[in-house]
Amino acid sequence: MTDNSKKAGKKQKQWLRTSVQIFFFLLVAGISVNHYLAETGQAIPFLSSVSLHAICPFGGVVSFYNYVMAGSFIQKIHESSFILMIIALFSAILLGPVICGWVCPLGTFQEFIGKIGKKLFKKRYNTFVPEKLDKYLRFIRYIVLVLVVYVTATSVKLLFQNVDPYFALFNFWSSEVSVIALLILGATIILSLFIERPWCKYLCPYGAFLGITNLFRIFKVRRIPEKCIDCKMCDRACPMNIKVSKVRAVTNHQCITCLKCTSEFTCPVSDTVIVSVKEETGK
Amino acid sequence: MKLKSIHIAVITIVVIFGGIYLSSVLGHWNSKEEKAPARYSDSALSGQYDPETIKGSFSFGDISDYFEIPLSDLADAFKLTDPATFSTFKCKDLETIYTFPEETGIEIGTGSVKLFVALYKGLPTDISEGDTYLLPEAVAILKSKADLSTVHLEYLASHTAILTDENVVSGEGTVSKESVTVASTTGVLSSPAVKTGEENPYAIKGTTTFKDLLDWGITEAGIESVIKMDMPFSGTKIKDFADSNSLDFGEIKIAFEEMVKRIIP
Repeated sequence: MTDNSKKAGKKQKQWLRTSVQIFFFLLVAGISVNHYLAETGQAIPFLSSVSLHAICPFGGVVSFYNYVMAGSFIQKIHESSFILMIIALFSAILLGPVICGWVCPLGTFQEFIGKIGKKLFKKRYNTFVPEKLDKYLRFIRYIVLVLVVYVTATSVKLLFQNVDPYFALFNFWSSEVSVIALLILGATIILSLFIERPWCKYLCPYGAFLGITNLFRIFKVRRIPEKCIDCKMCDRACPMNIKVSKVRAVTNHQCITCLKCTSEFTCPVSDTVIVSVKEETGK
Repeated sequence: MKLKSIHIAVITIVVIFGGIYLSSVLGHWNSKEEKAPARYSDSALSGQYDPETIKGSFSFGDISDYFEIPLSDLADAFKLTDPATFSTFKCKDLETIYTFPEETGIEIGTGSVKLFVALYKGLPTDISEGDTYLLPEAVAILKSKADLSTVHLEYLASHTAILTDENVVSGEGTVSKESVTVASTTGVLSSPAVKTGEENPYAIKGTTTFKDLLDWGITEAGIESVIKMDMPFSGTKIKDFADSNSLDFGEIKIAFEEMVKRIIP
């Protein structure tokens, strides 16, 4: 295969992940709109009209304590949220936070905004936060996770909705969205022009929850040092600023399994940065 | 074993939609709020739906299905005129259609639907608080189709809300405006405590939890004095607790609402 066809092959395959992201974004957006249309008897046929809470796996996470203690879900959370929580957890144990990198519409939305930022700032994009500060800021999302779960458990109410930019994004036309959530969504949009996936990196409690699976996931992103030419292209490609070139296996809690660093997309040497179960060698 | 992006894509989609399908087949994919009213737990009425558990989000179509009341009777009782909306019309929307002067304390809303359904089906209903009203059309239907006691007839005679142009807020096609003079003989103006026209935020509903009671100022000891046992996890819904412990939800609801009234006048 020539160099040109290799590059062409990589470009085509990048559209696969983008297509999956667009599919889920449109699906969630359609369901959200249909939820409100259904209230006026004008629902689009063949498309679900459930609330956003019913298809959000994080609802299962925050309601878990109440479910264990009381045997029921907190307000607005349905059994479907639990099912999705289990499905997402299963996929995360297998592939890491693939939900973040391939499915989450808010992540997709931030990436789309980020494309504008890339055009504006080119190579400076996603490098504005000093590394020394950034590595500590990345753990704020775990504080958010603990707070959200604690507050939900003690209040027995879905208070996170009041600050959730995901809910705001898909319900901004309704009176259910709080001003704070809209402001946070606005801030996320603006920051996405400078930083790739700012909500995911610093504040997303669900990303924090799934990110833990990076420590023990079955299929990891692995780099084969024997074949690596140390060009650092994988580091530059990573939206989460992970230093892939420094590790044999990516167990960083921020990995979203986007595969941008792999030989399939960015790494110029074939089968050097791959997704596999076992550690590979260059032999 | 190595994976490429195509494998990741396929696995992700299969796991998500396959998991949803499997859970659906097993009966665990419930994504909508339960629209079924609760059933009575006592043996005399066991199996029948309790009108007291009708929620504002229930549509007239839901109520017609569950309580086997003709949709046309429900629509006529609350003066809906557009047949296309009868089935999807929600109980809570009644309060946006009908408003009465604040000093009258009258409101036509979910409570009215509960009362109408209970009387229509001959099921127990609590009219001791005297704060639920029906439209004349609803009363006429009940008189012709339901078996009303003397107590019920007397109650309805003094709790019929007459419409005037001012009472009907919306001319959106679902309700016809009428110019009817307020009749003093119905006792419309001799209502009890002034109401704001808004639903009581301290009413005990099917979703009210013990945590709500604690937030409203009732102590744990107070709660235990009503339920006659240790208070469970505060996030437990009172209705669920009553059902699982063979307690009469109606009775403990009244007891708790009385307690709340003493704390929050």
